[in-house]
Amino acid sequence: MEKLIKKGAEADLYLIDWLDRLAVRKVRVPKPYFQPQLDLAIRSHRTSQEALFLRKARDCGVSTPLVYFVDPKKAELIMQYIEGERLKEALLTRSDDECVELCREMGRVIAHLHSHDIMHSDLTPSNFIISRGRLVAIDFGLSFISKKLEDKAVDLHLLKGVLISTYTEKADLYFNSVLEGYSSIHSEAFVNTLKAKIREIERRGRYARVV
Amino acid sequence: MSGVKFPMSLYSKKVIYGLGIESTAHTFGASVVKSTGEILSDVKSVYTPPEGSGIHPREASRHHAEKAASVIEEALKVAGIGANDLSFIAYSAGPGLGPCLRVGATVARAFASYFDLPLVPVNHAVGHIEIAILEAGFSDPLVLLVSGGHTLISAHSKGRWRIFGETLDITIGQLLDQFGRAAGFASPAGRKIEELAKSAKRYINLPYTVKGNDVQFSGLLTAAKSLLASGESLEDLAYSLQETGFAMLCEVTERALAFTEKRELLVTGGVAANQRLCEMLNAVASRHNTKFSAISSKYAGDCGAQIAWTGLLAYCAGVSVPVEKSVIRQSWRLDLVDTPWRS
Repeated sequence: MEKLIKKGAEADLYLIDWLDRLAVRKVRVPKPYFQPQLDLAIRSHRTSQEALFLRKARDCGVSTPLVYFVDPKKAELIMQYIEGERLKEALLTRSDDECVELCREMGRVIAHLHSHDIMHSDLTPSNFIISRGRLVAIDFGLSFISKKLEDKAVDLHLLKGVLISTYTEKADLYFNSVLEGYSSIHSEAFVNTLKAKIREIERRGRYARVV
Repeated sequence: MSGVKFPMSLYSKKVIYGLGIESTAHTFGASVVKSTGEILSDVKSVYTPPEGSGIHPREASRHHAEKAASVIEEALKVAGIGANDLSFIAYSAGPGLGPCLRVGATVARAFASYFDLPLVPVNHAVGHIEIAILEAGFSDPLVLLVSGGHTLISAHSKGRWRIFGETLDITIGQLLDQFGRAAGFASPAGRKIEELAKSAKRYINLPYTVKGNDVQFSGLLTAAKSLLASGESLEDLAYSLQETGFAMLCEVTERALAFTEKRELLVTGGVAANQRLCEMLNAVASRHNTKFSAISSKYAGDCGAQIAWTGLLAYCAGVSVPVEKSVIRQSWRLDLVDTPWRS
């Protein structure tokens, strides 16, 4: 049994049967329009990084799919199938109160990752699945380790950008809720320096209003 | 679905003409457009810095001041109309180099006062996008804007162009120009680098930095420059720089395409003249069953037509500014511009 469930920008996802369990096979398909050496390097690096960080994230208490099998040369990853709704859609359909709570939870998850110096690097509501009342984080292909405040701020800045372009009027509400959730894990002092850093990054943006 | 409210519907029978002035950076341009979507003239004079240098804002603005009159005169002559046939004059109000923007704005204000024409401020980035949409005949595209001033991915939603990804440091145009400068070329150096890349023999590993939907080129530039200084082949580096930088752009474009599910992909701005980039983006688009269009090379770089056409759309939607309140804005982000002519 093998069924294509998603053709993403970077990878194709198949629902498969893995030793009598429902699993997802994620294949980073070759991009014939990329320089071949570069293409292979990117695909195999991201595959192994993803397997590594799915595991690291679990170790700090964040729900992620279990990794069953990795083949960096083929850029293939087999992992647990997570049943549920993507946060991306939930934030478009649910009530404000529910959305605020979901964003707070996303903030808490990010805070846990950051407290272990894990930068997700692709924080978007598409990369969280609501499953059995918990948020499961996925797509760790771009993740890396960093102790720098700058990197943590960029991680959140990227999320803010996605929230603005996707949920325009609700973006402030959602992002503030993310920061609230984040604050429940980290000290107020740290969160304040982080917020200041995010503002600094925004001001650095091209043609951002000169303050 | 977003789409332009065609100007003709507002001017049921009357055809109008408008003049646009471009002067954000190295180019002083003037163009006359017609409300039927025809570009009647597009004349430009480009300031070229000495070999190995970038644009000096003061020198560029002097060039613009010298050429302004003859460029505008030529634009009207080619279009075959007089100043009295015009319905408005549009100018690039930003973002860009202050001294250069001021020349275009001053000329436009003088022209508007003398001929008693409405003055229409235009955002330069919106100009790059609108001229490309006109040419492609698209209605609701995902746009990759690549130039010396911009590197971003945008789609229109709720009255503004929203940014779905952008550079966190320098632009792709700056990457190419600054590498070119290190190799002793004048800016813009994109064409020269594209030519050199064709005779490369091997790919050299360079830093590839994608963060979410955003990119960073500064590490790539530093690495390429230091390899050049250490004696690596210029051709191989030109090739590797292009392959790496363009792959980053294609990746974030593809992500934005998958995310927004747009059915049209458009590339515009000076770097859109690069054939290799267009070839890669075309492949991205066909992988997602999306229509693809690249701005033709005559309107890829900065030009009066982008300002004139966007000015026409804006003017028909009621946008204009009194001379005494007309300003330039060196910083004017795309996502802060209201676009009342798009639903």
